[in-house]
Amino acid sequence: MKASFAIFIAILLFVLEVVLIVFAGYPIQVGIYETLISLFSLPSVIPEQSFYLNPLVAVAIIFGGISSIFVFGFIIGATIEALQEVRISFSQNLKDHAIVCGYGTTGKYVVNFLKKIGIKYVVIEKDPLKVRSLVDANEKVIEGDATKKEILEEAGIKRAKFLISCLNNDSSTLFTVVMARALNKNIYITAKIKDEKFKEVLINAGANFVTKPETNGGRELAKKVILAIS
Amino acid sequence: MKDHIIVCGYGIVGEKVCEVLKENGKEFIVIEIDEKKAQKLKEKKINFIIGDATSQKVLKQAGIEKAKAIITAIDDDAKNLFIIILAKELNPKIIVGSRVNSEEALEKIRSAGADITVMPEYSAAKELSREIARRYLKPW
Repeated sequence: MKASFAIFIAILLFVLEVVLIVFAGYPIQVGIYETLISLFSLPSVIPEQSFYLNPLVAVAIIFGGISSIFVFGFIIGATIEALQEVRISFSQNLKDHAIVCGYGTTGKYVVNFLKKIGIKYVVIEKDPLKVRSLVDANEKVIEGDATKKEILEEAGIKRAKFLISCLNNDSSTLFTVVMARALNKNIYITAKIKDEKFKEVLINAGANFVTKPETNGGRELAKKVILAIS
Repeated sequence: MKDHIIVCGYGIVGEKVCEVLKENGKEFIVIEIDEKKAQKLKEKKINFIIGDATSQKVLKQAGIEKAKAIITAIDDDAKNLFIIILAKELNPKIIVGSRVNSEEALEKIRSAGADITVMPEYSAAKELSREIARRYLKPW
């Protein structure tokens, strides 16, 4: 819509430029040539003095300049739009999926598990190096901060079923949980925490399940040792 | 003491380990370096020794030669590794369970003789995965 409007203005200005130059007494070829050079900044065939002698020519050249701004604006805008579409497109067709925030040791394990069980997922990761390795492995990943609304929206939070926060910072986890809950009332939120004191805060903020690595690890360690000695 | 379990380190992991051991009626002794934490052990009426678990003397004091198992629950992989090497030297038959804090240390701790290795981050990941699976299979 906006793009076609820009193109329309550009063509209109080009035509006006040609008409004005022809009106100023030059042949039509000169008009077309002058129009094109305003796009590529080539030397003009009209002597510079005539800009002062004939105001029509000056106005025509200005029109050409403005229209080239529109053309370049359109090219840049269309490129950015296309790039953004590529970014969003993969989570756009995801539904009832899981969003994994943070691709550290925990996140990596969770991703493998989701793959095994057959739940579709998208990863949000801040570290560009990890993002690159995920992209290379053909994984769906969004580079950015999981506490940010736009990033969560890009990950399709509104259509997602699960959010698994595996961040290494409890305040980021809290922000992510609050934001996720605000954007989707039904999403099932699970989170890893560092400090036990945050557990209740996170539950109150909208998390459904909160776990602490050291507690899980201690329990697993003791159980396995008991099993091994009995 | 005989056929008991030695727990090295009474941090959050160690505390949980002791809780589970107690629930299961196992006999155990804790080695803890920090006196403040030792106070907590005293209150809970848990057997303990104040000292450095990387010292042979302290391990012997905890009865390593007659122990059935040792659990290293310290948040420092180098210390855990050192304790495992010492423990295996003092009692080759002892069963070793170790906390592992970083992925790089996993193989080293295993090859040092740990029979059981647990990485808390993995345990949490398993817990989170289980929860998701539970929810996924039973959405109500």
